[in-house]
Amino acid sequence: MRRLSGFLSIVGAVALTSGLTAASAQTPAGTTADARAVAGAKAYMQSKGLTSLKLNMMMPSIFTAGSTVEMANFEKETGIGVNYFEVGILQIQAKAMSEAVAKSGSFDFWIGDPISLPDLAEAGLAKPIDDLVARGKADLDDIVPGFQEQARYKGKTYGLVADGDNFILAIRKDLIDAPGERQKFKAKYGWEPGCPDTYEQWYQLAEFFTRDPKGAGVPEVYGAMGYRARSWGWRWWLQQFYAKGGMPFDDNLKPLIAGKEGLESLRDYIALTKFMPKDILGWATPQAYPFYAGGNAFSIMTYPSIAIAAEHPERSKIVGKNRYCLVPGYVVGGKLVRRSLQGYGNIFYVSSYAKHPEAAYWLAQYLTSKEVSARLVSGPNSVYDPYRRSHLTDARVIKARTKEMVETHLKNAQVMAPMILIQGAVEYNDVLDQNIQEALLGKITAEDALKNTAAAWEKITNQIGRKQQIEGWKAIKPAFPTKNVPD
Amino acid sequence: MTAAGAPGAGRLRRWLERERVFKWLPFVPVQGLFALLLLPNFLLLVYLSLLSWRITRGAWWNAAFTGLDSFQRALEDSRFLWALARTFAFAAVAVPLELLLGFGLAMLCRRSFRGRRIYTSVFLLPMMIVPAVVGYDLSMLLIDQGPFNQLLSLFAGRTVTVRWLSEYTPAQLAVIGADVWQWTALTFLVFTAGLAGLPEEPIRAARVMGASRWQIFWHIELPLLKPVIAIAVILRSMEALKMFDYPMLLTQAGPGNATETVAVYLWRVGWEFARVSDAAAMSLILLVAVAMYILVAIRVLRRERRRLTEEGAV
Amino acid sequence: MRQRGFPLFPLVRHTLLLAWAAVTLFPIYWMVMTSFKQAAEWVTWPPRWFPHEPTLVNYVKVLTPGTSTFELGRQTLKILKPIGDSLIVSGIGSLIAVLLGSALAYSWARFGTGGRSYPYNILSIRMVPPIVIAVPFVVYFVTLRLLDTYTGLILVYLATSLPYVIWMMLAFVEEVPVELERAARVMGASRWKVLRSVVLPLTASGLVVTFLFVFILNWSELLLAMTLTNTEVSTIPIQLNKFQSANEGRDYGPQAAIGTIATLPVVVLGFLIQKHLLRGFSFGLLRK
Repeated sequence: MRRLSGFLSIVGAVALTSGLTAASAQTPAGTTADARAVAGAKAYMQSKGLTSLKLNMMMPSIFTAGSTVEMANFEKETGIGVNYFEVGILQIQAKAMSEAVAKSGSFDFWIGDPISLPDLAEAGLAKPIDDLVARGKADLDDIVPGFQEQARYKGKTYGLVADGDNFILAIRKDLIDAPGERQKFKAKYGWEPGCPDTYEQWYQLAEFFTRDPKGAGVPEVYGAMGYRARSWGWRWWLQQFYAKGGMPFDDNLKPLIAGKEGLESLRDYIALTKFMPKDILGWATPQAYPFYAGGNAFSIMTYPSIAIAAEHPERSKIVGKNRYCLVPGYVVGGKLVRRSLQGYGNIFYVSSYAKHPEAAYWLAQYLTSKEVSARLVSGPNSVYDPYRRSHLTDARVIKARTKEMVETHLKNAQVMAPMILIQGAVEYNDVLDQNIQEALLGKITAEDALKNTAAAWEKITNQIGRKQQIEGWKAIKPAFPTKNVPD
Repeated sequence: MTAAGAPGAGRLRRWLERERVFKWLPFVPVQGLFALLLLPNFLLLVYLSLLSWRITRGAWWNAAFTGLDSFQRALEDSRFLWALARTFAFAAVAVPLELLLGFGLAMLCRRSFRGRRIYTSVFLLPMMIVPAVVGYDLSMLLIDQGPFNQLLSLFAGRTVTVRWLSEYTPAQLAVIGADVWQWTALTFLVFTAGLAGLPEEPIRAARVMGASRWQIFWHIELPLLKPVIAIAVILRSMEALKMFDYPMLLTQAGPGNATETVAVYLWRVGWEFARVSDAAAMSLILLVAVAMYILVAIRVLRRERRRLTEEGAV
Repeated sequence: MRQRGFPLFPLVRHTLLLAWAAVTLFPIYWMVMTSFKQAAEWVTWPPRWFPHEPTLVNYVKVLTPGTSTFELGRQTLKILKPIGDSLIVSGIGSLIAVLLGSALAYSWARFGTGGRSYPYNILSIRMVPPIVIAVPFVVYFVTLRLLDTYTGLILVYLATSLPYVIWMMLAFVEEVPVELERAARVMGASRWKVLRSVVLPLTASGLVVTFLFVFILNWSELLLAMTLTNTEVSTIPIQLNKFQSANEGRDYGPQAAIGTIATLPVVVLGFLIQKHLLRGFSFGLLRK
């Protein structure tokens, strides 16, 4: 009872303060979201009597340099600058949780993925920003459907999306177009090699284009790449599972993964791994991108920022030799189903314990506005991937990422499914990940991996409270795509 | 100092001179530190373990008591039990290896010979390196096409591509190897110090009586070294059971759960899964498990040290 | 057969010692070499044992603010502030620990203060795995306003290194002849004078060794530092961990440069006091 009253008082306080700020403030002047953000920030500084201010921002260490230029611009205009608090990408969650306990205000806002949101919202760290979004008139309508929804939890907006991170498949067209290859491939598999429609076709491509002239088990060209490392690999399986028509839970949150869809997709996922580099079980982006860009693999399923490695004249040996494909799918009930997964996705969250939450919000709105986000996305080192319709026609974005890539990427977004975004998401996913890896290593069978996961999921659900979880699951379900293939 | 302050200061100094005051002087800050810093922490830990609080459930001071629920959950959590067992198993492999290697090296370096100082300097190096650096350094060496596999290939005469960081047993060996590589330096140091400090008379006497080197070693030196061995076991076991850095940096506790030590798992349960009460209960279980082991070792150490004192007094 | 004078023994001994020396040196050698390598030479098959085009670029990247170090141009791995913070935190923490701990060891050795079991009890503090206290520590430190402060981390390191200090210093204190102290007392020297002019000179090397050892431990500590700091304080292990978590870092050159920088001061210190090092590790467990 005490707990409940405490919770209610928090809710009440939040409602009260948000009501007050909404009433006392007006939309800053400006025709674009970035101009409004700058105006809003200036007004904030004036109202506080400040001329310069440094916000503390927690962000994954590998993303820092991508946004420094725009941060500097904002500081020049408004006097609001940023001190980076860099944290390993897999430790963001732990640091944020510790801040939820500490309530120290040591950072004002942070960049995180959607998985952490449900827990951090429940923990009271992530601040609902609906009132600020309304006041600043953030230009959210330009965002491709599906992305901004991931920054919402139980009907409230907690963050601004800065990154369209749904997976894309890159393949090497130069290898396909090499003399005689098409004919040989067609003779063997009976279809014209190109972007695969199904995972089966991807498997065939991977098999055919694995080049191991010495036969020593260390190919010169590996047929496929995807992520199989701890903390990452599960996302790649989840995408495949969704394409099979699978859903992780039913409406009562009973796990459904151990069924036929789960098993078949996991077996395919494991089978494909044999065409990948041996160390792939330890690789994430910093290892995978340079390897692919070095021309060592035929195909890679990864984040769209692969372009900054593969199309970069200095880092890549395969500039212009890549083709970007729609994500493959499965034929389910006679119809092709493609599914893409928003596999990380940077989101700006504002901390409830921030010393300057409003200033942090204005900076976030600035960085995610139509104009500035295009600059961010097209930056030479940017890990922010296109996520707005306007990026499709923006010359800078197209120059940085190629037109084919941006188009394909945003088409993939039409069949994009979210990760499991309910309270305890990190734990649900971690258990899944661990079991998938054990299956991948041959420690347990695919069947056991999924059964173990389902059993563990039941325990997690029961511990958090089934009723609450059902509610959360219902809230995320509309974010699943209705289309089977993109238009 | 002012003239007026002098008598007071003199009295203070005299007061401090008294034995019963003087001897307690360092104890006050030390015990105060433990009482203020560690004790509340421990009480808080116990308190948290009696709730079913997670960070997503309001404030911890509002959470209701749920008795021993967290403990029950912890004991039913096979992943926790495995992590616990794995941690002890890693220590059970690493610590004896470190002891044997350290002892062997110390024996080889016992008497002076040309180059002894250089060897000693080299052997002590790993101890002085930050474990995080070791973790990073090894992750660079152990990639499947890395220098370590190349070295192995050189010896094996064929291409070796062991996936040290992404296959089950090799990853476990890598983590244990990191510990052994780094901390054999410490056992070497402890044993070298121990050997150097052995009393000469009983050994000389035995030699005069015609005992063989082996007999002297087995019947005189080794018993004298018992307390040193005990302290080496204690120090290394205590540290090995805390293992966190190597798996975190080398393998992210993977592949699968191959290198998930209990410290890493508790980190995850507490901070990533937000189950603070469960983490607290598991911590207490871990503490009991470690304490049972270490306290037995300390008892042995005490007995040996006491025996030493008594014999020395005779 | 191990007989002195047996001609084979020195050969065997050197073979074995050289073998372990090689094992010890190999990773260090590789790290140092990598820190001088261009990006293209970090990972090659077959690996390069020497940098073909030695470069200082990794050091420059790590030491100059505002440059990015990661090959994809994203990381900004910096080292100067963490080095400073580490020096402050582990330096002060170890120093106070040595002062208090050695005084305590002296008091126990001379007067048996705290009872016979005291050193053993205190050893069990070191037994507590840091992860056990990490979670409540955050809660507790927040209320004390010690989270993310130098003081907080110094206090923690002070508490965790005291057991080692006491145990190591016992050996040195017990070696000081009581007769000498008594003689000085009889001649009218105060207890402070005895400490200053008899005990201190005789245990000086012990103090240095002990300081160095706990300094190394604190300099290396990751878990508690990671838990108890955020933006204000950042030690070397934290900084390394941020950029080297298993599946993030393949930014080998700069990371090797940082590793080398982080290792160097401690190794130099270690060499300087090596002569005294041995005595500190007998833990008072042997009688001459």
